[in-house]
Amino acid sequence: MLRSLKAKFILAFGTLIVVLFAAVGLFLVDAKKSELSSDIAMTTQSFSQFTVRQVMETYDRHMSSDNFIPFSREISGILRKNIDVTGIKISSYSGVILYDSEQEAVEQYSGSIRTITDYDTLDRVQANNSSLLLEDGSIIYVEINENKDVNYVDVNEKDVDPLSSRDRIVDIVMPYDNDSAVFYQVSYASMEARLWKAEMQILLAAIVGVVLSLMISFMLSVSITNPLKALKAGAARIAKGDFSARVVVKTKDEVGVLAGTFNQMAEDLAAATEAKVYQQRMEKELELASQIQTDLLPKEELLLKTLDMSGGLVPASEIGGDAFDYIHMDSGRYLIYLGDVTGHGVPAGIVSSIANALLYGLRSEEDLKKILANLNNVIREKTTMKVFMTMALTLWDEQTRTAYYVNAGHPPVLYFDSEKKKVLEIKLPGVALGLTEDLVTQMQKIQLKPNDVLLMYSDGIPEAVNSQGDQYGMQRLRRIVQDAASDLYTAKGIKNAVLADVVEHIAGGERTDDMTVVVLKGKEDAGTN
Amino acid sequence: MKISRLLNLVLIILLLPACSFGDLLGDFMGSESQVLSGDRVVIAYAEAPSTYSPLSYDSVNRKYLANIYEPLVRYDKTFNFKTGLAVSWGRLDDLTWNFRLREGVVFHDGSEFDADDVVYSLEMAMDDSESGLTSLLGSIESVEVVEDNRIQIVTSEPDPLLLHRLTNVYMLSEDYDDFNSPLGTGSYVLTALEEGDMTLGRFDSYWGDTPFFEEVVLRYIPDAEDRMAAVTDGSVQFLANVPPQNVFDLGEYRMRLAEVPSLEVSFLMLNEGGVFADENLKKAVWYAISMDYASVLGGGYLKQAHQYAATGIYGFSPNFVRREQNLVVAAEYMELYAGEKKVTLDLPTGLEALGDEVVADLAEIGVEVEVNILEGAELEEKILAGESDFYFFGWKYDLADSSDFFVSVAHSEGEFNGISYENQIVDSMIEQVITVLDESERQLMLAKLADTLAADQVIMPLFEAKSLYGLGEGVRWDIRLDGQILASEIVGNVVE
Repeated sequence: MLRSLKAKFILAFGTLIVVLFAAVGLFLVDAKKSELSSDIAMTTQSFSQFTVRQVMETYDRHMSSDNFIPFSREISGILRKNIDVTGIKISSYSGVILYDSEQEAVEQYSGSIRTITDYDTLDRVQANNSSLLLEDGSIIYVEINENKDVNYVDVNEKDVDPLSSRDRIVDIVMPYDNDSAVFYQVSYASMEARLWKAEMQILLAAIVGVVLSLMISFMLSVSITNPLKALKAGAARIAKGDFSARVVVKTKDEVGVLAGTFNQMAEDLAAATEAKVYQQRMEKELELASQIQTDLLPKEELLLKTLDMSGGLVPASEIGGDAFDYIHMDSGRYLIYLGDVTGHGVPAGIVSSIANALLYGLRSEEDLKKILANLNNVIREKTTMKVFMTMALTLWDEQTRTAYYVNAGHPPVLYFDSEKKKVLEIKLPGVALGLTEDLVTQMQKIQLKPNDVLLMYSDGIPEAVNSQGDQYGMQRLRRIVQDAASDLYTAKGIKNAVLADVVEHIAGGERTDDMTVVVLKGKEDAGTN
Repeated sequence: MKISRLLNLVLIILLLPACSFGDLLGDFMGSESQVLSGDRVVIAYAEAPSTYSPLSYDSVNRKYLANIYEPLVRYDKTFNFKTGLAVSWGRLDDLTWNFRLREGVVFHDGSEFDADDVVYSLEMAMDDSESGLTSLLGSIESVEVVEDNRIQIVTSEPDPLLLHRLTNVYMLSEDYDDFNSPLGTGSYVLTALEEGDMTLGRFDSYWGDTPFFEEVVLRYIPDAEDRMAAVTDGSVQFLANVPPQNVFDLGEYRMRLAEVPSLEVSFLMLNEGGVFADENLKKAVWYAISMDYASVLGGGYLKQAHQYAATGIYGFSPNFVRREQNLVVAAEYMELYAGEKKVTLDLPTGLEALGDEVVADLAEIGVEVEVNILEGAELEEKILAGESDFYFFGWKYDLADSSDFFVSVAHSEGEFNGISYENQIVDSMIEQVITVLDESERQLMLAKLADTLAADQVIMPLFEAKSLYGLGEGVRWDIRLDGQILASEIVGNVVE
């Protein structure tokens, strides 16, 4: 019942109006009632005061000789002058009823003597002050003093509660000339009739008011709920994916503003959904690219007789440009490299993939410098000018336990001398691949003794930044390498130690660049293998 | 929409009309009026009371005692009846009156007022040898207790003036007979009685409204100059009798004048039992006396009187045949008169000027007048003994009805008939008129009675006086037609 806004609105508004009209109506009727009641109390009392002499003189004149007809005629003439006084009764001081207009409408009373037996009524007849019998049975005497002050008193002239506008008078007794009293019967029938009329008028006004206000509340609620209905329909269409849904509301009120916002929302939602679909596709493609890049990395560690080698890559948030691999050239010789393409993302990934593929193609070439030169040429020719690649390239010769190392703009490799227990940086001149046409490189020959370690890393490691903005740094890298190598960690152990240390350093910070480590560790000369 | 919230609103609106604006206003304005109160007021009288007996019918005495005693029925300021120690009354038949007595009334000695006290008081007033009210209450046959708070008075004849008469009968405690120390139920109680000063204090247990002044002093200052001096020095705030010579300069004494007809008519009385037994001398004097004493003697506060009734009271008739001075007719009667042409005029002190006028008027017809000035009590004694031939007599119409004058003065057995006047027709008319309850009928009879009495030419109306009161600055008071000064009706400007 109360689910619809319209119903709630009409109920609330309607109830308020009904209550308001009822309250105002009751108040008006009550005020009118008090006013009429006071009027009647006042006019009947005045009437009694002014006519008592006339009544008694008429009685004395006619009834001393039993002329009932003219007497009755004059009394009814007196009664006609006040609609609220319906009967007159005359009593002697001793309480004998001499005349009663109700009993003696057409014929003089001729039964046994009628007397007042009630002491309170007799007191009223024998009083000096006029008195009022009220509907609640109480009797009030009205004393008017020489200053015209009206005092309400009891039979002993003690003050009592004054006549209020709610009190209704049953009759008024006017004592007359010390020997008689006249009763005036008071009726509120005319007041009831006038009150009924007033009540009907108020009721009619209330009904008209209520109907009108209900109509207004209906129209008002419709003006609110209709646009809301349109909004609801629009929202339903949007829920089903129809972002072309628009609501037409021409008002400038809050509902109009809401509809405008709704339409804007529908438009934004359409754009956002489109963007999201695009993003999802992109994410899928990037995932694929990332997968491809991961697939390019070696699946297994390289375990040779003389060399223990392990590499690891912690990717940045998006696709990065780091790559490493070890490529078997011929018996006993292996190409091991770590490359880093400037920038991140798919372009960088593609370039590193090209480089990886090229290196496979160049594995028959023995001269490392030529390999780099070839790579340089291809990258220069096939990529935009802005893409470069640094690279540390090592050729491992098992026969001689020698690593031939060239560098193209890459950070220096770290060399741990197991005898001296010291980490050295091996710096070689050279610029990044794709930067210049003529690549000038040097080659370094490194004899790896057992437990000697050669560590290649991408610049993502020393430059790794934590949330406080502190760089990981070369010093910490060298120390972890020294510690791990001194403790005779395997290549894999060293790699893990380095990566774990860097990751720990970054903690909650953002990984902005790939972090790659490749560890070559000289083995005890097994000889036999 | 929360239904409970809606309900609250409904309740608030429905309850609004329940508190009436009148109540709110009443609370706001406060209904208790301020109690007014003052310390003391001193009222100066020119006459001293001759007795403190509540049974006295003397108007001077009653001016003093009216503050201490109360009757069953009182007059208000305009001679309407108002309740006194009776709260209601009425006639069971033409002879039987019922009175319902006020409850909760106590005498100044603390004893309760009841029906027995009423019977005692009325019987004292009717029968006591010292009572001046005996003839006033002559119509009462019996007084009986009906209940504790009801008594019944039975009159021998229908008495239209019974209520008027009862305004003069003070209620006494049945245990009380020391009349020198007044003790009643009034709003003031006697606190001191010294030479010339009667001091009254508020009666705390009074049944009605508390009077404004805490203390009232009724002070007798016979000398006019002394009275005005007392006003000047501030010891008196209210003058009961303003000396006529000071009327015009009252403003200089910072006093306001209040005046009211005194309802008192002054007469010259011709004693038929004395020298005026001779018709010719009586008629000669009747026509010789001037009509103009009022303007000669009164300083503007006397007016000519042509009839027995005071102007405006019940029984006053504008059609009354006026006496006219006619020296020719007077001289004619004198020619028929053979006796001694000398009379003695008895006058009270202060009316010497009147004596001079009478001497001059009667000298015109050759009658020599000897003026005899007497003190009030002395004159009264002489009059009541029938020994004064020719005297000044004043009658105050305390009942505002002329019939009591006829009963007391004109009836052959009237208490104040000092002129041996006897006319059986007049007597029977008087006896009849006092029993007629119908007012218009009685009025006609009174007029006829007055005409009949006037034809006998024994009582000569001279003038009516005005009562003059002086009110000091701190005193407010509304004048009363009956001439009484009730201290309880005097209020001051002081608010404490």
